[in-house]
Order: sequence, then structure tokens, then C-alpha cells
Amino acid sequence: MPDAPNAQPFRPVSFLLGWVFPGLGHIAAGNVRRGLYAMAGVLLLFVTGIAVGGLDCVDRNEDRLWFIGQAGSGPIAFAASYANDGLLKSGSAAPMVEMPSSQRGGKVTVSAFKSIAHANDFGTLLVFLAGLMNICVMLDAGVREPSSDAPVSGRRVGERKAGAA
Amino acid sequence: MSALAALAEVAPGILAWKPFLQPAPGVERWWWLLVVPTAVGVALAYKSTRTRELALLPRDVVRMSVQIVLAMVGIAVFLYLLVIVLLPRLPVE
Repeated sequence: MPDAPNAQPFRPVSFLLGWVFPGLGHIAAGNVRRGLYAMAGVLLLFVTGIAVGGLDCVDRNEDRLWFIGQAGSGPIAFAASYANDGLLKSGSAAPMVEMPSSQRGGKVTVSAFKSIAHANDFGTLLVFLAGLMNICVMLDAGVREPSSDAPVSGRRVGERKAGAA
Repeated sequence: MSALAALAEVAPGILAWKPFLQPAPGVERWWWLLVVPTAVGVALAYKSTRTRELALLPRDVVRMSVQIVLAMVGIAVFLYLLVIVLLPRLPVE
């Protein structure tokens, strides 16, 4: 059974910085490389999701439950949602088209760039995963010892310190 | 046939695609490939918090990514055998 990690006090500033931008909490605490790796992982999911599903897969109004998880990515999720409003729903990026029918009755128009089917499913899921993974990264930033990235010198990887219990 | 023409064959509309604004074209043909960036992204974010020695991070990320992809393939094969092969052979009554 692995050793219990040394208890570290919770650092709310690192935690919150991790929400401001993925990996920033680690970087601000001096764990720069770890922060950059975490940033790369979260942004890979986020950018891939937007690339596959388009901006329409982040929507704080129409997909509110999904957006709760997506918001874990921080302001970039809100920026994507506002960009969705400003570019797609306003019709400035693509013409609005009328839906063939609506259960509510009346005329419903949506952007010609609205994503549907597989593209919307996977785009939404990937951005959602980015949010969830960033929450894990934020929690780690909150409890990780500052400036603890340096490799352990004088012993092999996985070897305990001399005299350690 | 040029590379662009071949690409357009696989994903019609890709030459007119506006990335990040509209959905990627032809996703319904290659959606299953998205398991790869999904696995790599999850593994990279997770292992960046769990790996003690960052020098071992690339190895750990590759290992976890392969594990995720193989698990997904295994689940797909199991469900295929269950739904397409096994269940139709069960007696109706």
C-alpha cells in the first residue's frame, strides 16, 4: 500500500487561479512544468471539442446541465458561450435558417452553423470532460506543496528517502 | 488525385469549413477516431496531477492513453457480440 501523502494545507488562491485558466494554479505556486502539462491536457480536450462541435456545443442557456460541468474550465467556457451568442445566435457569422417544424408552434430560426448529431454530441462531451478534468487539476493545485516539481536527486525514481518510514 | 481532393472525399465540405465556428464536416464518418484525443487529453490532465516524477510523465500518459483506448475497444467488441451475435440467437419464447 502506498504511503499516505503528507498532509498539505489547502491553498484557496492556487485553487481559484486554476479556475481562472487551466494550470495557472500550479504555475503560480512554482510548479511550472506540472502546470503546463495540466494546461496542455485540459486545453487539448477543450479545443478539440470546439473544433469538432463548433461554438454551438457550449451554450449556457440551451444546454445548462452540460454547461455546469463545462464551466469547470473557467472563463474560457463562458467566453465560448458568449461567443456562441454573439456570433452564431445573432446571425452575424452565418445566416439564420428556419426550422421545418416546432413542437411549440410558431417560427423557430437557428444559425446555419448550429451543430447537430455526432458533431454536437462529441463536441459537448469533450468540452464537458475538459471542465471535469480541470476541477481535478484545481483540487491538486490547492493541496500540492509549492515548488515541489524539482526531481528528487540522489535516488532513483520511486525509491524512498533514507530513513523514511 | 490531390491530397485536398482525397480529404474532401472523406469529409465533404471540409474545404469550406470554418473551424471553431461551425461543426467539423463528416464527423458521422470518423467520430470513433475521437477516442484518441479524448484518451490523450484525459490521461495528460490526470497524470500531470498524479505522477511524482515529471520525467516519467510521457511514459505514464502513453500507458494510460493506450489503456483507455483498449478498454473502449474491448467494451465495443463485447457489446457487438452481445447485441449483434448473442441476443438474436436467444429463443423468442
